Amino acid sequence: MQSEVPEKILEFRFRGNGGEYFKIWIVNILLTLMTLGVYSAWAKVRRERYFYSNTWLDDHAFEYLADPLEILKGRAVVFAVISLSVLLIRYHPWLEPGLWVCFIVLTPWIIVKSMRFRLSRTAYRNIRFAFNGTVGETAKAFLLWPGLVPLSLGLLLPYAMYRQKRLLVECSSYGLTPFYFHARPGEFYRVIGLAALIGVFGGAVAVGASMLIPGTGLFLVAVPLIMFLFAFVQAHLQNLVYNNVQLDQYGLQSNFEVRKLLWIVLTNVLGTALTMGLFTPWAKVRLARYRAECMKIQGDGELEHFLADQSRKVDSLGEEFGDAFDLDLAL
Amino acid sequence: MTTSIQGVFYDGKTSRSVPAKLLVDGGQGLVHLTWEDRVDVFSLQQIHVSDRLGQTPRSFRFPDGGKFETLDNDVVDQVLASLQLHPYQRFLYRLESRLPLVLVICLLIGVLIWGVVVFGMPALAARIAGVMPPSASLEMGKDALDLMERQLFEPSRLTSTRRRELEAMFQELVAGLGDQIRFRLLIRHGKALGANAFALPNGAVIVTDELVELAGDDLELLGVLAHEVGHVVHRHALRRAIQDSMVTLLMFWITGDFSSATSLAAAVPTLLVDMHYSRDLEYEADTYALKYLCRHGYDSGYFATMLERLQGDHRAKVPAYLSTHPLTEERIERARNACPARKSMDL
Repeated sequence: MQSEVPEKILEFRFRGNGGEYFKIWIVNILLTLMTLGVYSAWAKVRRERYFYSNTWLDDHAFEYLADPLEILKGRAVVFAVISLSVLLIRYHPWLEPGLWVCFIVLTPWIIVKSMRFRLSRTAYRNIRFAFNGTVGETAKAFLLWPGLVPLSLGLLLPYAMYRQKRLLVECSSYGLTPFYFHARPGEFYRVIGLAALIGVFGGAVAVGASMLIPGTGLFLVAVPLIMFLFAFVQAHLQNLVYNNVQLDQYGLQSNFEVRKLLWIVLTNVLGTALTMGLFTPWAKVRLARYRAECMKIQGDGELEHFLADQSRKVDSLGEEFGDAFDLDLAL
Repeated sequence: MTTSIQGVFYDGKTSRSVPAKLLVDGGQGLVHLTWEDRVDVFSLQQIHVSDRLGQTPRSFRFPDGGKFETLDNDVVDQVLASLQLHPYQRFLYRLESRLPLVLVICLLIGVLIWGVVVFGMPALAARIAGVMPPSASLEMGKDALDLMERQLFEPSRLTSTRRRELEAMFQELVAGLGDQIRFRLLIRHGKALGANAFALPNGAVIVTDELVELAGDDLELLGVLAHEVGHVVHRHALRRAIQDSMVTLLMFWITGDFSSATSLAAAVPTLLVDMHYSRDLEYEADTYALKYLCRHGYDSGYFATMLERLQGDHRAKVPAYLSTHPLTEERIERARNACPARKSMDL
């Protein structure tokens, strides 16, 4: 019924700036140090809020709504589990393999928990996102398929990646409206295959260079090669994933460019190293700004008709103990 | 006293946004929200106002799930201040918004980190190492020794008489150090390592044939052996492992999260700190060696001579950059003056 309305492009914008974030960042560090790390949960919320609230889509800002106390609780649990495991292994070394198996078996559960936490604390236009994936599905995508990769001599790697991205997108929703993912496995094979080709070719050049100039030759070729591959895979995968995400009649568009991403990452690493870390806030803002610049939404509407999931009560957050695993899992 | 704020209202049920106006009536403690053609009234206590964060939008959340959002941060701050609400959040923003204050904070952080890294961590690491059972050190040495035996060393080419002489000297050195650690001397051919000596936490002290040959006098060797024993007695390997993990943890805390870009940058300060610790530990091992030499009436100048020989030897073979034994001049000077033959023997 809305077919007469012309297609509209809604743009993402990042409106923060490095100088402003620097001040927030430095105060976070000071308070974290003075409280022996306890403040880090509040610091995280402030950092995330800064980046979410400065990301605008069509003149409305995103929101990060996590409560520092639930993050602190989650961190305390993680810290306790890790310390306990280290102590156990110290005195009973034979337990180590068993513990590793435990951790691996638990990963799908942890992934579900942290995705659910992150998305349910993200809102846009006062509607929260949600993650509805089950532990079973997640185990398939994050344990079964990756487990088969070595058996297939790596040939299944792009397919495993496809399954993971598909799960993360299709189990997410904005309010009551689910996201759809219509990428095909073949597209993942194309990106990873190209990267592998560049890697093999570059590796051969690196070996050649190390014969010409012993010692530094390998280094001279390998470091730029690794950085280029990193930017190549990052840019192409993000484009591939985001360009295939659909929300109702809206489609996401993404056009990261390898060259620009490489330049930003390269100058960020250099700047951060040369300033002993003081450049970090600007580095993060630059990346956030570029990411926002590359993203658009296309569709014939104003994003005004999405419904909230009223069954999830806003004020019953974080009651569940393990809810606060705030692992960052990039899409 | 009423203040009017312009903004947008989201009802929380749909993603729809409507222009809205908020009237804050401080006297009555009420808030009037006007959107489309309706007016909702809430008491101030029912509303949650987000704290200020730079120039990001400010939100007022109502009990029914609705949200009023405005970019007029300064007006909101004035209203909250006049109503004496949320003093804590204004404190944070005040910290974050004043450049001189921020610069002072930078300085404070620098001093704090410096203090923690230079004084706090070594002291804490020594404490922790002190309470850890000896078995912790024993295990640390075992794997390292196996690896070195396999990859770095060949059997010694010195005569057995010579080796027995050194063994006797070593036994005298470690006599009376208790039986918690089983000290033993291993003499190996060093190959690529050249003239060198190592101490492993489990009490194994390794010297290379090349080192023995480099020495002009057995008293020179005694100083080196005492230095290595000092590393073991003070549990340096364990302390260094603890210190290094503490520095990594600190970097983790400071940067908050480790992305691939920042972890690379974080490696630089970590490396610098590690070199600093390494120097401190060498200094401490020297102190142990000099005390031993002086107490037993030996001339500490021999140790100084040995350090000079080592310095010359290393300069010839290895470029000096990134050496873990820097400031050798200073160490030589100190050894020479510790207890020369005809001076008093207290240190």
